[in-house]
Amino acid sequence: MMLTFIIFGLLLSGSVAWVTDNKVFAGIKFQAKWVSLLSVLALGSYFLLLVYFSNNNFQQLQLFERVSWISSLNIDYALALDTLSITLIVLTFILAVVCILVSWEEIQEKSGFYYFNLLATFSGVIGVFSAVDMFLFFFFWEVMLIPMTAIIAIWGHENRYFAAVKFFIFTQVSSLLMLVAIIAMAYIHQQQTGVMSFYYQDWLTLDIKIDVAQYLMLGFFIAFAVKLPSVPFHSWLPDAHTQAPTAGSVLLAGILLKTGAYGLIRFVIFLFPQASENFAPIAATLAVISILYGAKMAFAQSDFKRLVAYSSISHMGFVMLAIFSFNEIAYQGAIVTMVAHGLSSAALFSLAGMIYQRIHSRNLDDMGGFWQSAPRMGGFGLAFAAAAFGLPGLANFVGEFLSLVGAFQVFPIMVVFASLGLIGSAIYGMLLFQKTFQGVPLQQVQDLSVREFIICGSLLGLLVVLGLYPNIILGYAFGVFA
Amino acid sequence: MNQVENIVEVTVFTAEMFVVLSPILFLSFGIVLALLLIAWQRSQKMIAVFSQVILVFTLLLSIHLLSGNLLSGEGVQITTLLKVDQFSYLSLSLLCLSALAVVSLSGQALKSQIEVHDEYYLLILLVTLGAAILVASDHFASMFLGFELLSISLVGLVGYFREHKYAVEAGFKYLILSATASSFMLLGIAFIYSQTGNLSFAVNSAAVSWSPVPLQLFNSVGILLFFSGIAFKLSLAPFHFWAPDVYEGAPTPITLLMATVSKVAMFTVLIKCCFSQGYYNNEYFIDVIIIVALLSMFVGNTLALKQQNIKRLIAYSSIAHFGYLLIILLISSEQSIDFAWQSALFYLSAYILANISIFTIVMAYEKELSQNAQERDVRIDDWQSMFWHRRTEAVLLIVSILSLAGIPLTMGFIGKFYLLNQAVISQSWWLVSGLVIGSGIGLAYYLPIIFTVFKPGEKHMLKSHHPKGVLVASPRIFITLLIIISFYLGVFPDSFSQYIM
Amino acid sequence: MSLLASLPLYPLLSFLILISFGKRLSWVMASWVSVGAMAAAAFCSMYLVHQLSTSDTSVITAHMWQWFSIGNAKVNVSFYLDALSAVMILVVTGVGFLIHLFAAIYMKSDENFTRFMAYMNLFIVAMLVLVLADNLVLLYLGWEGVGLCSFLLIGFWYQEKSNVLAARKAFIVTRIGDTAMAIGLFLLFKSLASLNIAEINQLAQTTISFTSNSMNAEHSDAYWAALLLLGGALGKSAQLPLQTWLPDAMAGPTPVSALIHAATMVTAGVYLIARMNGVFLMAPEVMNYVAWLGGTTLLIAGVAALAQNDIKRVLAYSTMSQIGYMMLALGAGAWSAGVFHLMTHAFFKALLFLTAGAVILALHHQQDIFKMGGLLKRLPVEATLFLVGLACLIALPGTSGFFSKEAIIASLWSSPTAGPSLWWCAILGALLTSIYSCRLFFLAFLGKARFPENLVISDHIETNKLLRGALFILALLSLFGGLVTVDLSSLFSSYKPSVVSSIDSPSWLHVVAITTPFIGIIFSWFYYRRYRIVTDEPLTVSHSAWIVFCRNGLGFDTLYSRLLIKPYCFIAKLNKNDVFDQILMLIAWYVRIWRDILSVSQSGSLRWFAAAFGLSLVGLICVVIL
Repeated sequence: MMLTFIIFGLLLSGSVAWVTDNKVFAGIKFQAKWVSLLSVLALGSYFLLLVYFSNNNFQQLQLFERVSWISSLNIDYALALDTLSITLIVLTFILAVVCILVSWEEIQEKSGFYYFNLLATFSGVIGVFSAVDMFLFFFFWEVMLIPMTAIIAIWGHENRYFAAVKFFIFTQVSSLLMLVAIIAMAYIHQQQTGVMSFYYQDWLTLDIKIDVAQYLMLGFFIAFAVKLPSVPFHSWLPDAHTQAPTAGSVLLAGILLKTGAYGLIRFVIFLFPQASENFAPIAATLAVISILYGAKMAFAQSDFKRLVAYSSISHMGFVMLAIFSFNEIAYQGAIVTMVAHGLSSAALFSLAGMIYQRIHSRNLDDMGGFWQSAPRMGGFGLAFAAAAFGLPGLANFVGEFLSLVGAFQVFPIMVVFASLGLIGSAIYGMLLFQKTFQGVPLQQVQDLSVREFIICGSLLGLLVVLGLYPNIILGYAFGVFA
Repeated sequence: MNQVENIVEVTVFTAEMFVVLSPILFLSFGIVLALLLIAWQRSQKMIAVFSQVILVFTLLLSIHLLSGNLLSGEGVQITTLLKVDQFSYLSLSLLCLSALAVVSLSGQALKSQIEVHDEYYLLILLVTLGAAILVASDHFASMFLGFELLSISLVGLVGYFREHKYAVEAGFKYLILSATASSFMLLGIAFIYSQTGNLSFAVNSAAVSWSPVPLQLFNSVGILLFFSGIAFKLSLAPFHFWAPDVYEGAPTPITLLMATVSKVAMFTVLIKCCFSQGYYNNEYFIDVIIIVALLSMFVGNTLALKQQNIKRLIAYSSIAHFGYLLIILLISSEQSIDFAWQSALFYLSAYILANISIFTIVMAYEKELSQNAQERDVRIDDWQSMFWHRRTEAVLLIVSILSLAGIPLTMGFIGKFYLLNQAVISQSWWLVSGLVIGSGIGLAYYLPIIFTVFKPGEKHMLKSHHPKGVLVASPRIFITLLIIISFYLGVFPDSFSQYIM
Repeated sequence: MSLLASLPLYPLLSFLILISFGKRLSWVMASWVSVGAMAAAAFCSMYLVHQLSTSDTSVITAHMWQWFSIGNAKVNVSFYLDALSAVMILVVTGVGFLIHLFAAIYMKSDENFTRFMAYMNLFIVAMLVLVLADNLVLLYLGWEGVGLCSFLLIGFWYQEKSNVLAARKAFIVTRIGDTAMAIGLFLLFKSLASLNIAEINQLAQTTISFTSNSMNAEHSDAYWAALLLLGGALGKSAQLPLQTWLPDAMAGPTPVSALIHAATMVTAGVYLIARMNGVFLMAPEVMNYVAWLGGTTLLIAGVAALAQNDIKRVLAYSTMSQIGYMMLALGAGAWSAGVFHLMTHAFFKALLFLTAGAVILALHHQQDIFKMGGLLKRLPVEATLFLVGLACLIALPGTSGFFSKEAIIASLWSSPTAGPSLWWCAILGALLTSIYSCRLFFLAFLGKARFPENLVISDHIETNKLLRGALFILALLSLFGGLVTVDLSSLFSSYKPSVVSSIDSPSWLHVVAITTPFIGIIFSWFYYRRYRIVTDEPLTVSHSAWIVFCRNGLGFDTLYSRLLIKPYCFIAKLNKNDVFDQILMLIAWYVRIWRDILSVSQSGSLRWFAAAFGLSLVGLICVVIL
């Protein structure tokens, strides 16, 4: 019941924010941003308490709800949590607060509807992370797209419609493939046990002939590889990230990409262990290509957000490499990288948003020498760039190191190539930092406001803490694989 | 020999049959009354209300019959000609619903004209009757009867506003082409008869082996010709050419009528015939279906791209949608027939609901246009910034577009889900890929519509005027009702499909 | 919290203070905080070393917390102090303190003084972590940290385009080495299942699978691991082929060059190899490479130093070549000699840089030695200090440089992994060293003054005292630092018995080694005559192709930009808008084409419609029949 309460609470408070925006009830002026911020904080802390005080250990999936939904096809409304999903949901809540804070001044017109979409996306994402009925999962998977697309299409930048359509079509087509695979699984279950079932736990018990499993696995894999994204399915991402408003980019990079990784772990690996193990070399190759290609493309960009977007392709490559190397260390690395990248890319995109608010441009050539007028911003910029190129002591390093160490046990040669990505990341990271903050000062920008300082400070704090004491998540989230 | 027997046995007309047949009887009775009414006094309002009342009663009757257990199981055979079961009644109620919507929307479309339009309503009723006979028919003869009744009265309606720019042209196109289609169909029926010696659906001609011996070939060709006739009405590629022009030329409510009533009826009868004849065992037929389906998905979606005129767009998208629906025909075995019916009807109702909603909005805007003395069709960019000024209508529009695109939270998604289920069971991967790609292309023209609705812009034209249906007291309520229904059924499909289970 | 654990805390605290208060701190406050912290660290480390020498245990450790665990191997944040790291922390904190002291005055006028001192402190923190780390991952943290600080300090005057580029170059080139090192760590973990330095050195000796060549590979894991670690060392220590960044790094303020690019950071590579001697001993081939790379670098750098005009670039190249000596020593297995030279070099090179800095300051940031000259009379103190530094560099008998360099050269001939040829390399290098040192001294301090007359000795007298104070201490250290003999032989395990050789070194070696510098001096006394005598005919900077070639570091930069940078940028530009994207968009384009084709069919003419109806029917019938 509580999970449902959280999911629909977000949706509800979103609608409240929409309806009551800039209206005065009982002498209080309701502003959408306040409503949504408070509700997100409240629900987030509620979720934490819920997890903290629930006495069952989340090493295995703990079922929270299971109600029959579409009885004709034996589809349930089933939610469950385990350490993996909890970690990601917590990340979602953290970034939710960040999203709201970065939109604080950026979004002026139609703010009510904006925050409704924002919160709707959050609820969709949390649904994705907690659904264990595959139809429900798919349902949330699609539902989280619609408000996201709306955010891009309504509050985005100059080229937003194209970006939104591209984003939507990519995800839609790929996820229809997944839907076919889901249905096929349900029927296989019917053949084997007599009853049709979309319930994840039931599927784990199936034994599928390897040749069939190959295809089904591929169906899932493509959907998640598009979301992750992995070369060659990545090309929706740069457009979407660039055109989306700041919060949109934060949301995309910070959370939505993680749903892809989550899907790979939870469904591709766990449902089709054998098939995906056979597939691993290909997947790993794709991952390595993504790492190098993303880094190279990032270097070529002259648009701040586009650069960061390509860098996240490169980073998610590490995650995919780790996931498909079937090695506990690598899995740990994957999880840490997911969280770390969520934080660091969110930070970089928020920074991009702050700069955009000041100079109304995302073009690196219009920037330069900002350090002189905005040293604080410069300091954070440096720190976040450093996080992006995996400076030890920040969270990303731990993730990438563990991923690579783990993967090296399995694919030594590929890891050697993947490590070249470290050089690539250094190159684009330096480029980003120096082009923005160093060189001849082109113009004066005012330094971070208190709100912005809080955003950057908290993100940096988290990055450092996780970088120096990653056991916070490692000890926790890793239970799934143990 | 045994044909003679079963004729003898079924000619007895029991009370049960009467009860079961009552909606259709009521409808035809209503039409006669309508004629008398016209003879007595010519008043547009009266006839409109009257026809609405008739439709409502028919609807209620059929729903009542559905909920009762009369139709459970095999269904009731009424002479060799008709056979009704819950499926045919569900589609009948869908027909009545859409006819009702057409009538309610027609109100203001006709206001613009001077004269009194009794025959207009009469024709609509006749179309409905034809459709009703189609869905009930169990025999090629009765099927053809309904077919002709439907198409001839449609011809009259298509060219109804004769002073309109395209009216006559569209009417002619429709007349001639549908005549061609029905003649081909007759030929096909003749071929089939030459093989099976019987025109009743019930006789399972699957018994005849399908080896391509020249004689048996007749049968296959016959089925093909028959199918082509129906495919014409369903505007499936490659028999789709007429659709956009006629849709554009016809009065908007009639476009809705064609898009919903005639198509639903046609598809129902097609399923009925195919299933009872067991065509799904005939690999030639299956090949044809697959080709036609793929063509329709591709052609329909592709042509709809960059289409500005909404009526044309609907025409194209409906081509694609019935392409998807053809998946139903490829069931693998007897067992899955019920599920196939369920899927088909669910998809159809989603489709109808979406169309009705869209046309409601279209009519509203057409009215505004006519008030600004602009006699032209509504274009997509007329809808710019609708969301910021006319919230409810915009939401309805968005929901129905999403439903056509098959995005979750809407009926359309569940319908697509059912179809995919069918396709997976029958393992027709070609159609699956067609569906996936097709809906991919589809998004490329559905989403821009939604974006136009969201696009910021100055307040559009006058203050919103809603279509003044006569039955519908307040259109805002009507619209919100539509929204709620489509959401509710999109999230809880069970509440609908339990009627069929 | 043990004393060892607290060692990096002082600079860290002062870094935090400086960074958080920023410009609000006055010069006095800022310099007190930063230099005070360094002093504390220096005393602290001295006390630690004292403890170490007196206590019976040869190691002090401090465990703070478990960072993370790889499988069963724990990666801790914990420090490990033995004789080797003791030498390092003494150098880092001691020399670091003096340089901070100097910098506090040198940079006084800079508007971003606090930021500068903050970076310097941060660097010290990272460096201490590097040398104290008990596992390779923590070492890597320090390793990257010093890299970042070096980047920040080279680009400290970030408004100059050239500085920015130099900083980027330094970071990326070293990053290449670091990546190799990272891969080395993966390999070490794979084959030894541990990343703790002591354990690795231990296991490397014992694990058979590590040292023996597995059936198909022609090289053992040890070989690859050592090679990859070497890659890291080369990057940091600016050795061939990753040496190109060091001369450009002189773009940073002079104290930075003294601290990072002479005394401490660049010697990290040497430290790493010495640290991992257990692994390197298992791979004699690699030690041979180390020796050869060191030898080549010291020659190349010496030649390049001969052609430089910028006083700091000369010193940079000489640093390079001195580190070449250290590498040579390590390669030859003379571990303690190498580390000994590291220490002495830290002293006298810091002295040289700082004195050069003082000179540069006095000449209003004039760095071109062809625009100096005759400074012996103008700045006698600086001149003498500089002379002392050079003496150590040339390794005149009695100076610290002499002892350390002799120790190295002596060990070469008989070493199984070095041998006579490399011995000659070293001798030649010594000759070059003395020649370019003389050239430098002549041009800068002798001859005719070639700068505008209005020369001001730096104004603040009392600060000047401080400044010189720092220099004097360094001078003393570099003169007598050689007397404290560092014997670390207990630390380092010796060769595999297999490769122990018995080449006995002939007797004349020492004589040659000692006389070489003097030969160099005498040679240049005559060869560079026109540099030292006061004449009126102006000095001309030679532009002969050969000289220019040497001045640009023997063309490595051009080579790399041709081979790597240009192609990379080219590919990047070529594929700016993403070929994969193009391909996918091609589909959309294709669909649009189809749309146009099909929309032709919607001609709207009835005849065509009817015909199409018939035709398609025929088509379908064909499908059925055929």
